[in-house]
This record gives sequence, C-alpha cells and structure tokens, in this order.
Amino acid sequence: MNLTQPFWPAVLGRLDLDSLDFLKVFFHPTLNDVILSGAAWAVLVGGVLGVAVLSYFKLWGPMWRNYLVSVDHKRIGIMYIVLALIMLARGVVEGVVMRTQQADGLGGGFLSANHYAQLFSTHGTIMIFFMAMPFLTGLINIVVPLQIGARDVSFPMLNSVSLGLTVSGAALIMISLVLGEFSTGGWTAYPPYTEMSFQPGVGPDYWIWSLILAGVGSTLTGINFVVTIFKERAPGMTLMRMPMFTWTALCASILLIFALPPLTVAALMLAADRYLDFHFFTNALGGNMMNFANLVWLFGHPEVYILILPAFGVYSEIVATYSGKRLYGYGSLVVATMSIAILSFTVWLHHFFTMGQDANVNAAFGIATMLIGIPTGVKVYDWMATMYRGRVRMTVPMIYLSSFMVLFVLGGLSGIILANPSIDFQVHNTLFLVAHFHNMLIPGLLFGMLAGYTYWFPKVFGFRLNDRWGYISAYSWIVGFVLVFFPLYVVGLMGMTRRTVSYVDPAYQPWMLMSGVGAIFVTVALAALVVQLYVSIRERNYTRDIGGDPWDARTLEWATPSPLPAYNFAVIPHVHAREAFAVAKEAGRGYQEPTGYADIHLPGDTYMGVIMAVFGTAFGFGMIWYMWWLAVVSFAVMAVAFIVRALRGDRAAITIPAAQVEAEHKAWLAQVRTVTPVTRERELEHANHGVAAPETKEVAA
Amino acid sequence: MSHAATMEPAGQNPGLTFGAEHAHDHDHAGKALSGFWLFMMSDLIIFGLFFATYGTMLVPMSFAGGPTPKELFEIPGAAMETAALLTSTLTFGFASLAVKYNFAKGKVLGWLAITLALGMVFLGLEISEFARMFAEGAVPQRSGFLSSFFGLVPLHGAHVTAGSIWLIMMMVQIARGGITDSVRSRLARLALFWHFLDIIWIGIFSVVYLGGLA
Amino acid sequence: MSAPHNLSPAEAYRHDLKGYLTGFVLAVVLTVIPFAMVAKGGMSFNTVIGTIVVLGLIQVVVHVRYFLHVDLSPERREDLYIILFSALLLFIMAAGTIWILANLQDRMMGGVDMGTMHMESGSAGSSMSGMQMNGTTMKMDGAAKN
Ligand code: HEM
Ligand SMILES: [Cu+2]
Repeated sequence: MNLTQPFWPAVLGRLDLDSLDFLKVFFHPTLNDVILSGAAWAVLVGGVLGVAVLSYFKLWGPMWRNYLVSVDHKRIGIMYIVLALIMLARGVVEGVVMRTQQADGLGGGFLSANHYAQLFSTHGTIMIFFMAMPFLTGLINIVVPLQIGARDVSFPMLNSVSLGLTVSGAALIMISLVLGEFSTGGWTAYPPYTEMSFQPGVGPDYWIWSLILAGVGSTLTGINFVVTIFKERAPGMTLMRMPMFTWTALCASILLIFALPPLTVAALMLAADRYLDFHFFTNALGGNMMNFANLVWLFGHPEVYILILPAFGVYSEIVATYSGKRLYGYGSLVVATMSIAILSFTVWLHHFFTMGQDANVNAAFGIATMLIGIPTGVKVYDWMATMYRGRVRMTVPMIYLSSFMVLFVLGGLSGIILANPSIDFQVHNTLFLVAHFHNMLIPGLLFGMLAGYTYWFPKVFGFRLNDRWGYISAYSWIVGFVLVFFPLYVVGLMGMTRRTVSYVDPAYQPWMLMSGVGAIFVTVALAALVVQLYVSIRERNYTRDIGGDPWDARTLEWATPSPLPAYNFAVIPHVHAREAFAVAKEAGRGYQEPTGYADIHLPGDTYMGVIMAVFGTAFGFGMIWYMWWLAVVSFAVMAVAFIVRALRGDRAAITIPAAQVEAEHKAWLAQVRTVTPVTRERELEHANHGVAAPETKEVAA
Repeated sequence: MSHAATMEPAGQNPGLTFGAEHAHDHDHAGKALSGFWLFMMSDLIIFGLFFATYGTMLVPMSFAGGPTPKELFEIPGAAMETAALLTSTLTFGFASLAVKYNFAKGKVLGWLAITLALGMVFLGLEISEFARMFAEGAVPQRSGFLSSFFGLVPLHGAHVTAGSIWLIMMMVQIARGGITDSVRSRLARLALFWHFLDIIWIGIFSVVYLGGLA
Repeated sequence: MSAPHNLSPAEAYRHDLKGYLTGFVLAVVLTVIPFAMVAKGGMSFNTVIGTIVVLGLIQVVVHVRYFLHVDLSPERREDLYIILFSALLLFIMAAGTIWILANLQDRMMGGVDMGTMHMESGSAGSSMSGMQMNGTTMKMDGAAKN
C-alpha cells in the first residue's frame, strides 16, 4: 500500500460523514431534509425490523434452505416477486410524494429541485428495472416451466445467479437512500448532464452499476428461458400448442437477449467517461452525447415490449379462463406477438424526434411506430372475441383486464399521436408524454402483473387471495390512475414540462390538485394490496386450493397440486391438444392416475445466487465509492466462484424415489376425491377448494 | 380452424395423458451449447454497437485535432496479429478433431497449447501496439475517436484473455481427468467462442485497420 | 462437424480435416487480398473500401461455414436461424446508428472542423444543447464563440 496516502481515504474511498443521509435531518431540519432523512431512516429501520422478525420467528434457517440457496424455479420466482413488491412500494411512495409536491408546486412547494430530480430518477429507474422486470421475470419463472410440462428450467444454477445479480442492483438503489445521493439525470441518464463535469458525485455511478448488474442478470434470464422453452417442453407440447403466456415469455426472453446489450454498452461507455476520462459522450474533445440517446433507446423501446408482452400473455390466459372459453384467434395472437417483437427494434428514434435529424429520418421511424398499432389492435380484438358469449366472471383479474382494454387503447391512441413527429415537436418533454407512458405502463404492465399475481397465487401457495380487498385495490388503482394521469395530458398540452419541481402558471394548478387527489387513491390501492395479503394469509384455511384448479382453468399448470411439489409433475404429461387440461376435463379425465412412476432427479442447491447478490452489491458499492480494494476483491470472489464451480461440477442432484412420488401423488388424488366440486357461481366462496364442476361446454365463437 | 385435439383420434387422447415415465436423456451438452450460442449472439450485438460507435467517431469533430487513423495505424502490426489469431483458429480446429476422433490426450493438449501460445502472441502484439500508441500520445483521453478505438479493440482483447484463461482451465482439467463428457461439452463451447472471436477480428482488421488506412 | 455417415473413421477424419484446411486457405486468401491492396495503395478509395467490405463479409461466411460448421443442412438449421436473426438485428442497430448519427453530423457539424476546438465542458454544454433543440442546420463556430 502506498504509505504516503492517508489510510482512511484508501479504505473508504469518497465515503465521509456528509454522505450519511440519515444525519441530514439533524443539521438542516427543513421539510425537504426531513423527507430525505426520513427515507434513509425508513430503509434502516425497515432493515433492522426485517432482521428482527426473521430472528424472532427463527426464520433464518428455513429462509436460507428453502429460498436463498434453492434453484427451484418456483422459489426463485417468488423471490423475484417479493423483490418487485418491495420496490413497487418504494416507487409508488416516490410517485405520490412527487404528485404531492406538484399539487403544492405553484411557485414553490416543499421539495428542493435537487431532491425532486432524485425522486423522478429513482422512481423511473426502480419502476422499470426493479419493479416491472423482477415482477415479470418472477411470473415467467413460476409459470413457464409448468405450462410446458417441465420440472425446472434448463440452467437452474444460472437462474439463481440472475436473481442474485438483480438483487444486487436493487440493493445498490436502496443503499443510495442511506449513503449519498442518487443521480438527478432521470431514468435514462442522458449525458453530458450525467458526466463528471456536471455530476461529479456518486449519483450517476449508482445508476450505472445497478443497471449493469441487473442488466447482466436479465440477459442471462433471457438465455435461460429461450433454451428452456425450446428444449424442455413435454412430449406433444408443440410450439403451436404452447399457452399464450409461454409464447409471450419466449418473445420477451428473445428481446432480453438482444435488447439489453445496447444498455450495457451505453452504461459501460458512460462509466469509461466518468472513471477513465474517456470521451464517448462528453462535450469536449469530440464526444458525441447524441449517440447515448441513440444507444439508450435502442434498448429502451424493445424494453417497453419486454414489459408489455408478458402482461399480454397474462391477459390472454385469464380472459380464456374467466370466460370459460377457448382463447380466440390463437394463431393471430402468436403472429402478432412475434411481429411486435421484431417491429420493436425498428422504432427507437421516436424517443428523440427533436434531436435534429432531418424530416425523412423522422418520417421513417414515425411510420414504423404507427405500424406497431396493428398487431396490438389485433390482440385487443382477440380478447374481446374470447369474452363474447363466454361464461364471463368479473373476478379481480377480469376487472384489471377490462379496465386495461379501455385504458390501454386510450394510451395507445396518445401513442399514435406522439408517433407523428410534427406533433411530437409540440409535446416532447412535456407531461403529455408522462401521461402517455404511464397510461401504457400502469394499465398495461402493472395491472397485468397484479392480475397474474392474483390468478396464480393459489397455485403457488395453496390458498386464494381475498377477493374483497382485491376489488378494493383494483378499483382504487383504476380511479387513482385516471385521476393522476388524465390531468397530465391536459397540462402537457398546455406546455408544462416534465421533470420540473414547481411552476409559475396558475392555470396548471387545478389540474395538479386533481392529480394530487388521485395520488390518495393510488396510496389506498397500495395499502389494500398489503391488507389483502395479510387477510388472505389469516383466512387461508377457508380458501385452500386442494384440487389445484380453483378457476376451472385450461392450461397444464392447473393439472397439478397446489402448492406444487418440488418436482411439479409426478409424471411428465403427454400433451395431445392446445389448452390440454380443459380438453381433458371436458372428457371427464381431469384427474388421472398415471400408469407408472419413475425416480425423479432434481438439481441440487447452489450458493452461487447468494454469492452474486452479496459480492455483486459489494463490487458495485466499491466502484461507486472508489473503494478499489473492495471492488477488486468482490470481483475476484465472483470470478473464482465461477471457476471453482466449473471445475468441481454441479452439486449433487436430489433424487426422489418413485415410491415416494407415487405415495404423494396418490394421497393427493385421494384428497381431491373428498372435495365437492363447485360451479362457477360459487367460484369466490369458501366452498371453492379447487375442484371445478363440469359446466356447459364451450360456445362456438 | 381445426381444434388441435381433433388432429388426434378423438376419445383415445383426452388432451392429456400420463404414461409411465422413461428416464429420458436430458442432453445437457446440447442445451448448454444452445445457451452458449445465444450468449454469443448477445455479445455480438455488444461488439456491433462498439463498431457502430467507432464508425460515428471517424469524423473531424471526434478526432478533436488529435491523431487520425492514417497517422496511427500500420499494416505490419495488424497483419501479424491477424496471422496469429487466424492460425490459432486452425489449431483449435485440430484440437477439436483430436477430441472428436479420440486421439491421445497428449495430442489434444498439444494443439490446445499451441492455440494458447498463438493467443498469447496475439495479445503481446496488441499490447505492444497500444504501448506504442500511448507513447505517441494517442491515449483514449485524447479524443472521442481514440476513446472509441480503445473501447472496441481492447474489448476484443479482453475476450481473448478470458478465452485464454478458459483454455488453461480446460488444459488443467484434461491433464487431470482425461477427456470426459464434460470436457467434450465445454471444449465444444470454448471452440465456438474462439472461432467467434476470430470472426470479430475480421471486423476489426477490416473496419479499423484496413478501413482506416485505405 | 458433418462428415457423411457412410465413411470409415479414418475417412471421416480426413474429410473433417480437409474442411478445416479449406476454410483456412480461403480465409488466408480473403485476408491477404485486402491487406495487399491497402499496403500497395494507388487504387481509388471507393474500390479499396468496397473490396474490403465484400471480402470481409465473404470471410465471415467462410468462418461460419468451415469453423463453426453451420451450413444449410437440416441439423444446423436452428443455429443458422439464430445467426440470421442476430445478423438482422445487428444490421438494424448498427446501420441505424450510423444512419442517424451521420445525418445529425451532417446537419449540425457540417463543414466545421471541430477538431481545433478545445472547450471546457460547461460552456460547450449550453451551446451544444441549444443547437440540439433547434433542429435546423446551424454552424457550430457561431455558437461556440460566445
Ligand atoms: C403508481 C403510481 C405512479 C405514480 C403516482 C407515478 C408518478 C410519477 C411522477 C410524478 C413522475 C415524474 C413526472 C415528472 O415530473 O417528470 C413519474 C415519472 C416516471 N414514472 Fe411513474 N408513477 C407511478 C407508476 C409508475 C409505474 C408503474 C412505472 C413503470 C412501470 C412508472 C415509470 C415512470 C418513469 C419511467 C418515469 C420517468 C422518470 C424520469 O423522468 O426519468 N411509474 N411517475
Ligand atoms: Cu418507444
């Protein structure tokens, strides 16, 4: 070690007393700093509370054994969704704080401009990368192997690594609340504003490393699921028999593989600029910041389809199930999904129509953008046709679906408006745009994820979610969304820019107040989700899903016990039809006794996920705070872990003897026979224990 | 449209059946190879965007008054690097053949060692080229153009380094345990990786060196 | 590696070996020609660049065919599709990037040698962003002087 260098800076890098946000409140007790420190305290107290609860209930052991080292795709999926829900809570709170600020923002408000900028930057980054992505990855993890009749994904260890990397990215963002500031450059982090000359602090570095870590994790997830879907399908599960959710998962995974590289490249180049004084995007010495916008949106547009396609998949599943009908226009839905996936790579320029390229370039991308409306429209018609003359039940997921169909079309229309470059010149960078993308993301992505969460919850945990609180939450989301974001279309057209902390034109104020009222409903919606979970757990004995099929559903995952055994299927099914489970039930063969059993081999546990999470976080932290020793050591640990594992091979697989599988499966079938089947009128009542009574057959569409 | 079920004799197959399960072969090597293909294609996009960025930096604004490709690059160095890498692709091919046709493990190790040596030659040449550029003041901090050069070419070099480490690991594994199934499967992936890096190099010598000097 | 099935091991080995050697010879030829052209000089820029690009692309195909063993056979169909799909996306992204940025370059920096300007970031920041917002051709030297 260099002895001329002082000791502490070498160890702690640029971390010092000023970086401790939770102390700020004692130095400057303004409302702004109370909120700033309050958030830091919330993270600290939340962390301590979490540790305390786990210790008190002696949950460390079970959590470690059953979850952290597990490679079971269902467990990994659950962990992804837990992460998503935690980050959703933070993201929503931030959104609500911003709406409150702007409601109060005529000529001032209570937040500093810098604080507001951190809020929209973390809110956007979190919602996209640490709420939406983990949510859909979690659902894909849980559902896809079941829908294709597999026991696990192709690369279970890698799956755990992906989760670990995602968690480390999220952890860094949470740490940014406590130590130092986050970037103020928005979720897209455009340079030159995010370069050293404007933000020399740790902010943009938090953005860079959390995104690189999570991005690598997502790329690996994409690879994992493409191979899984191509190679692990049960006998007879041809591509054109795959459920729609699996199709959308496939397309989203392909997008992950090809769309994340531009983000990684942009972030790496920005890191080179900031750490090594390169000139990729600087003002001086020949950097070209326009290339950053180009790269980020090369990722960013496909990304919005990564977000929306799985939600489309969820909607396709629930619309068929809760209409009691075969999904209408399956082939057209498949083709539409694939076209959207490809087209999504051809439109990125619509995010920077105003950058200065000539009208012909803008026109080309504008037209390409409008084309995407066509396959999307096809989908909406297919869903409507599925409902037409179906046995429609307005369950919670269907509330989400029907509000989605109306609101998403409105949002799509505002998208078509924005796709016209000459109009975009007027509303670019205004709240009109903010209204537009929330209009796609909330009814599209968020409602889809919440619908999927409600729909598959009993499959994973063995009991249904409380529907009364589900309805309260769903209606509050809908009302809240409309109240918060429709006014933003208006003020956007009036010229109010996005990312501004306050404004001086009193004409905006009524709309901002209306939007603030909406934020109250959004808060209620979030709280209702928490209450729903609590109530559902408390009342779980009344809503047990013994038969495993509480919604009279149609696809393979429902032909299994709930909660699922580690091996998913006692015997791998042979598939002879699309929506095979529905066909089997119609033939009166919903619960069949297999003709024979075999030993089942499952992959063994792994420490790799935990290692990635811990040392990934430490690596990012070291890079952000210039603690080079920490970064180097953590990186070395991760690399060595990979090498060691490669040389020593996989950990021993678990074998479950055929006799045990047979006993468990027979016990379940016996239990199912004691359950009284229910008709769809009684779907939401306590009587529903997951065995569906046969009903009128499907009506020809 | 025909209902998928109607394609099967009706009644016999009610959508789903649960036959006795045979312990079917899981073909792990095949899956790993497919996964690796996808990983490489993702990597290909990364390289492609570094190439594209490099392309956009070949303008006076990005030279920023600093050295231009014509002043920096020379044919002999690039030619020697190309020769080393191209030959190493062939010798890796020989190693793959030695594995495929069950030659003695010494043969396999020999070809791998030659490949590794050529990889080292390549890296040595590349590093000395960078050192020369640094000495001339052509550092990445000098201009946008040089930043993009030092983004693209060392990125390839880093891949070759990673490939070399992997090669060493494989040689250790073969020396210790012989040519097992897992060695075969891994070597197949490493071969893919090595040949892929040579393809990227075609892009680099064409775009960066020859394109710059043309 | 796709040796026909009816060959004895020795024949199959020779067949495969010939594949690698063919690939290598082709690759060497395709490499030497553009190197020689550039080293010798004297040809028009467009001819040289055109040759480099065409031979480079051919060499990529050679490598894919003889070293990665991806050809038109049904067994390799899957890999071929992956490659073609990736190539399509790569083309969209790379060509799109160059198209867009070249267009911007033309309209914004057109004709001005920015190389001689060594500006501190702050001052350049305002002039550059002003220029971006404008969206019409604007000469940089005017903006940079203030
Ligand atoms: C649930 C209630 C939500 C509320 C109240 C809310 C509120 C807000 C507000 C106030 C802004 C800043 C607008 C500005 O001043 O520019 C914003 C930006 C943003 N929101 Fe939300 N939001 C919500 C949900 C979501 C969801 C679900 C997503 C994505 C999945 C999302 C993604 C974003 C993004 C990407 C930005 C842009 C950040 C930036 O400017 O860099 N939001 N949101
Ligand atoms: Cu877009």
